[in-house]
Amino acid sequence: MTFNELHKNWQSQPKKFTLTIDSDLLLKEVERNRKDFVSSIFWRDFMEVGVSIIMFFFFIYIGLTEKIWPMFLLALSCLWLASFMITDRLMQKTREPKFAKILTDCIQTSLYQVNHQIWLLKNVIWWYLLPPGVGIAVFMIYMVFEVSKVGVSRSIGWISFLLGYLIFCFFLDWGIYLLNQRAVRKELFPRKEELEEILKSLKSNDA
Amino acid sequence: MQIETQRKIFKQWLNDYSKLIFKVVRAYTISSQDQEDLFQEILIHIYSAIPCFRGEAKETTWIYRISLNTALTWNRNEKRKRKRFKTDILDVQEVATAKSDSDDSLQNEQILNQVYDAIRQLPKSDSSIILLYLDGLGYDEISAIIGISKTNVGVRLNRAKKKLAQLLKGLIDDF
Repeated sequence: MTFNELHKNWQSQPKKFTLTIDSDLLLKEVERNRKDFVSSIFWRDFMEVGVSIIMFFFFIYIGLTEKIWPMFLLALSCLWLASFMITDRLMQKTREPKFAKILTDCIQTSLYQVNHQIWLLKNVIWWYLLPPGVGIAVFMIYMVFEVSKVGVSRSIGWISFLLGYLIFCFFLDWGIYLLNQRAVRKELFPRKEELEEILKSLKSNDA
Repeated sequence: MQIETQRKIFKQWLNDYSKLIFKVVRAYTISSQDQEDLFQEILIHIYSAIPCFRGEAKETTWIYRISLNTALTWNRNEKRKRKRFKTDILDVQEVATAKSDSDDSLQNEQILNQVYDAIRQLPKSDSSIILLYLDGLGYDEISAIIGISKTNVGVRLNRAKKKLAQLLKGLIDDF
């Protein structure tokens, strides 16, 4: 068989099968699915940012009423998280892949997104874990000093609990960090390499 | 664009180009579940992109772009991000053929299956060029879809054809 014959064979394909599609039903499904997707993204962002903002006000309130100054540090870290996430989402919205563009442009944008995801996860310790982590640590140390004012022997239970909680938070953060690095290694890097490979091979003769 | 117009165009395109989309889907996926997922993803992207369609490019160019872009950037691991359609959307059936040419038809189908298998083994960038070539698109159109120069289309196509011929040794003999 020659390529010309293969060509003819290939082009006769549509006559060999029927694709039964109920266009009304499919249209409904597409619209429903699209709506669901947009709303799930909205609620995910809303939850992440919303919880941070609620916690910000909560910590401010506790800080003011109970006069515990480390609460302001925790409030600041929540404000930082909310601002970072809003700014990041807004900036990335303009960089979403446009599927009707030429292949190379679309792959370039997808690659940019994957690189950004890698950057976010690799630096998760700096923008996500450390700010509240520092706040929690300062708060715990402050509380240890406060409860030990009545005497270390009388408050040893509380001190042990607070230090235990601090160690638990440290390991929790460490676990989250490791999970994120695993996602970078196992999912994002292979994806990045795949997209780079496609882009490189498409552009190799155009350079 | 009004939602009614968008719906009308979508339904029209669905009638006209669903087989074209299915060919792309078949070239990038094997299992029927993956085919459904990719088909679904492409349809959603087409529907979302309709308001941006200004008629500057041909409809086929536009559909090919969206289909190939989606197929090339589609991540099997991320596919569960979207909920699947509630109903099965793909119902592909062979057209019944006359008894006299049923042997030919079966043989052709086997050949096509082999070709699809070979296309799936090609690097993704090559498979898109081969797919467009086999669908009868000219260098101009392939260049407009992929975004590389016409000379590069020629070079890449020749290379991809060689690879395909190697994968289909015994079936294709003009390389």
